[in-house]
Amino acid sequence: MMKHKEHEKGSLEPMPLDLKKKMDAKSDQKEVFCESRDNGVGSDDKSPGKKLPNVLLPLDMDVETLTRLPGKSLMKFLCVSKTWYSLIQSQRFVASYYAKKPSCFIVAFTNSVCDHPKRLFILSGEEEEEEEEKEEETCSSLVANLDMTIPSVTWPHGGYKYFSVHGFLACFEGLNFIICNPNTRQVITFHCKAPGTSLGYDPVDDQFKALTHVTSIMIITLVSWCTRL
Amino acid sequence: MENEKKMITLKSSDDVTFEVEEAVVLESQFLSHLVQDCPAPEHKIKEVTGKILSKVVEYCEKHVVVVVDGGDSSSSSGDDLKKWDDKFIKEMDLSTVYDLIAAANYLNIQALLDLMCQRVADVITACKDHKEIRETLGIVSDYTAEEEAEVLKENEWAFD
Repeated sequence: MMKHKEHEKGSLEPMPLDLKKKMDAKSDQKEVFCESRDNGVGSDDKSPGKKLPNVLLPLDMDVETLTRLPGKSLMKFLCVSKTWYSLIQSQRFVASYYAKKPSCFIVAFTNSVCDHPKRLFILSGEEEEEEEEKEEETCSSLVANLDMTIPSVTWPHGGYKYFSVHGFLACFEGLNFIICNPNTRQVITFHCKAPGTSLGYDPVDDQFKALTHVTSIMIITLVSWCTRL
Repeated sequence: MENEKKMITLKSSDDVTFEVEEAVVLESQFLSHLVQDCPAPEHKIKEVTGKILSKVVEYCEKHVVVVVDGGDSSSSSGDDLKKWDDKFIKEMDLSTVYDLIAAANYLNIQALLDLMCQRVADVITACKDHKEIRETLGIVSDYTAEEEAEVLKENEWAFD
């Protein structure tokens, strides 16, 4: 799964979504020129009945539009073009995507019997208004969608071994540290040297990190939830 | 009547004029700044055509909250407004929607921008696969056949 990393590093970053701010700043001027479309806003030069050849929105408007799509649709539309792929996968897009989404809760449970791992189920649903992640106690009236199931993984007993950070779920299985992203259905497994691994978010660098406590601490950096690692 | 409403004339790029109440203009942040800074009775908006400006004016007139004397509000109630919005976007083709997005972005009318972007998002969501999106939005794929197959395979689950 590492092979995509190089491609992504060189990928296109979407234009900033601060066009409106620029407009405000500019509005003191009497005449403001707007270059949002090559052929001008509202041009009537399209032949009727034709299938909109090359009618493309400016990239920031694409962002505006795509942030309104459900996560699954986004994943489906990675295949539309490379531009969309790099747009959807970029950290900036992910940030604005989540800024618009209502907070959601994640529930994970397993059907293992006597420590024989069978399958891990991950469900999520949207909260009405509250920010904090909640679990079962308020779920009765909410609809949860089954996001993914992972075979042969069980949720180990003991609270310290599993983590939920910004929509990621992580758990410890033997010496494997398993991180899953229900939004993209990605599962990453690390082999760790010691059982004391945890997942955290570093707001300074905007990165997710897995920390293993060996003799000194080893840090593995995960770039963002959407990137393929 | 003493407090007669202040009217402002908006002129599109192709010189179509629209006479609207000041309150209607204030729906657009860009225009409200323009009107404050430059109190001329007529404003030319070079970037928007008459066809699109008429839609913008139609939208703003419907959404403006006009409080007349006596505190009676003549603005439409929430449900009616929503129905009106639905009808407003339904009768539009995609290229008009695009033009309206660009115009709403330029004129800084957030509610209209939201409505239009949501419309495009709904169109995209309704597409069953990436090919349909390309066809609908006129996007030319820059994937090679192998690359496309790979991305498809990685995201197979999303096509369930």
